[in-house]
Amino acid sequence: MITLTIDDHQIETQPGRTLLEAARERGIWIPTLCHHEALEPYGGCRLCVVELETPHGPRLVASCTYPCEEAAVVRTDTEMVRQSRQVAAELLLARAGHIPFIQELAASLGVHSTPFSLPVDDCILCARCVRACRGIVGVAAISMVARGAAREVASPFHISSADCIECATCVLVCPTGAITLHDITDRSRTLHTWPTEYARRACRLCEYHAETWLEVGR
Amino acid sequence: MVASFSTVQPVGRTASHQLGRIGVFICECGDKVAGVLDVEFLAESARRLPGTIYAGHAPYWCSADGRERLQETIRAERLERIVVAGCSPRTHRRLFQETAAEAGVDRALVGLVNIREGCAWPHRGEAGAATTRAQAQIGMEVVHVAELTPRPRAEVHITPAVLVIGGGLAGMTACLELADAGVPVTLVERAPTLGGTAAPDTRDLTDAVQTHPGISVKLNTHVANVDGSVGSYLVTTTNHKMRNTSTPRGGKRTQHGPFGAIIVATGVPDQETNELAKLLRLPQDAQGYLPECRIRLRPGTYVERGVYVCGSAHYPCDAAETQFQAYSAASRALRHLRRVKMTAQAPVAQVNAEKCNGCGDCLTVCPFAAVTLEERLEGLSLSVIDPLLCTGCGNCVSVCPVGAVTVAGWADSQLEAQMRLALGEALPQAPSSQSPVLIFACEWSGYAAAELAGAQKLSYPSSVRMIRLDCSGRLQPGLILKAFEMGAAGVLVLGCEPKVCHYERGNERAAAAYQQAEAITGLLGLPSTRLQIAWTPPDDGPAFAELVTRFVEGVEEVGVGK
Repeated sequence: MITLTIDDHQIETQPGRTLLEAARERGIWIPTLCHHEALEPYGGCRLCVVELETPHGPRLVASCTYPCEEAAVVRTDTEMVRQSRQVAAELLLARAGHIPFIQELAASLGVHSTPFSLPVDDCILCARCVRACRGIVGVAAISMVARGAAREVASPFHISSADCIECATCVLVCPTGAITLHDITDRSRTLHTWPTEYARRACRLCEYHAETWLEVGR
Repeated sequence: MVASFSTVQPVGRTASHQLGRIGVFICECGDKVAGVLDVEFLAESARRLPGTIYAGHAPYWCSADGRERLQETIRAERLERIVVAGCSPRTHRRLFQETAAEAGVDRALVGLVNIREGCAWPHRGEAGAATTRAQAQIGMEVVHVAELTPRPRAEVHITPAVLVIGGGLAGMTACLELADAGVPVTLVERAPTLGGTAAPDTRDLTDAVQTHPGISVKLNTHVANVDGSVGSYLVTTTNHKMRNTSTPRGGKRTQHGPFGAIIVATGVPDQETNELAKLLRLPQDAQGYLPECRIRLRPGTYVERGVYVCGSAHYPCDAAETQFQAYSAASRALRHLRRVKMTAQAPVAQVNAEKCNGCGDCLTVCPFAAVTLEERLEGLSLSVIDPLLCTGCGNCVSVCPVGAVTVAGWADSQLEAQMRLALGEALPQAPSSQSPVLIFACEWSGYAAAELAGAQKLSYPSSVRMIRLDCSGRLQPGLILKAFEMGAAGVLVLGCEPKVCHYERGNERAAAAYQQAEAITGLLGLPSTRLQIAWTPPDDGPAFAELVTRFVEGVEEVGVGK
């Protein structure tokens, strides 16, 4: 057993638990967004940051990924934590402020407006869909592609994914309603869906009235 | 092509006589469930269900500590089956299966019922009715789990060798791709030379194939028979030196194999394609082409057959596309071989040999080519189901005219037991407009849409009770009529949209069952508004909520007096 302190509570927990798990077990509220009970921790949204005492002073860590350590001292509601969460919420508002769920989440952190301006998108890149596809369903029909500002969730090569089984688990775990099956499979039943251009030409073999489809390249 | 039972232990009979030691774990999900539903009442009523020896609630069963407590409870109460009532089986089934398996409960005997997206959220305005629905849904899952049978994992080894049928552009490309990856390949070509329709332009490819040490080329050769099963196909070929390439019969018969995968690259279909399609049991379209059948089930619930089609056997292709398909088929075959072994743990359909009259209806509907007909002494055939290929969708059950097929866990009697629980409260009194509306929902469409509607906090009437089916095609008219007999105010059947059924044509069969039931309910004088079938996309929560709301309103309008 490990003993640590979270918000002045002495907590005993098993080795290997994360700070978030230990706090939740004790009933201490920590906001989360990319966290999902059935998925591996991701540490993407940074809403669950908590303050950890270190020899070099207090430091912010993501509680969903940080493991409990013997004699650790953790605070979940300090000024530093609040500020960090508020900036994260402001960034979320800037990107997906039109989504009611994001508005509620930000409001719960005391954030009602944002000083930032970002391209608006339903998707907040929490990767719950991608992790669910891989970790729960066991296929990898979608993944995170590109980096930085261009980062997005997409099927391979942006064409219809042949691995998608259309279980809609990604749709279920998406917190903002950003993903639909149409995005992944385009409702196609075959593997090969890229467009090939055809043009009509008269057939050289049969009657000149008859026409046939000949490919002239793509 | 039926697997030998040596790899698979025989599946036990449905243990309807023994209910097992069932534990019900109700998850409060913080306050997400407990904030709406009366979890103490749910636990209490679950404890009264037959076979249940434990029922309890906790803030989180899914957390690491919660799962530990769940395992302790399983050990302390010596539980054999468990039901977790909380959130979606689609997200948490595997988690709880693994948790339970570590504590000694068979993975197949773990049931999940969604009372969060299923009851608490969509009916959060009416806590009492939401709790009543949750009580019924938990009971229905307990009845379902009580009659499940553990299924040993069917395991099959995959022989690392490939047979490629057809030595044209597609076949040769696939051959080289596989042989370069180190897989021994046998290439069968009926013509005396390689190249197929692209012959003049494929000299380089032909040379590469013929000189490759990993490729064994059999010219003038036809496929005469395919034996063995998944993972190790044995292929008999006939060899002939005649110019007439359309006669596969005759000549020297040789058996090749075993092969873990077969790639069909036979080009534009002809008479021989039909025979090959029969041997490999590949579906054919009206023109004889072999369309791509993409299996859209969860990995681990089915065994991939290892038969891939590429090139113009699919549909007429140009050279670039043919090669692309060949690469694709080769890579899929390679991925299949590299699995080394496959396991499947889906429930399996079983045939009662005494009842089966060998009509072959199940053979025609089976989407996974799991059914074969065996000759019996009396001249009748007997339907035999390959336990490796069966996914337990139950489409064969609904077409069997003599009721000879059952799927463990989804037998009519078990669905009836669920219906009785769902509608039980309506039984003693005369049916009133308050009696429940029964929804039979395919788990890939209607059920998924219902969960999504709940997750999106959309409201729909709480008088519904939902029975989840693997496929709407499992439903038969008798069950629909039975539901009305038991006092259902209405019956709503939900399936996948046309052409996107995960079991190929299960929704069409559901439509047929609906039409038969509708004809009879019409004769009985039931208003047609009380029975409806609908196709629900799994990613459209609002559509589901609206559909159900309108259906229940319609049912309430006509009443259930008659």
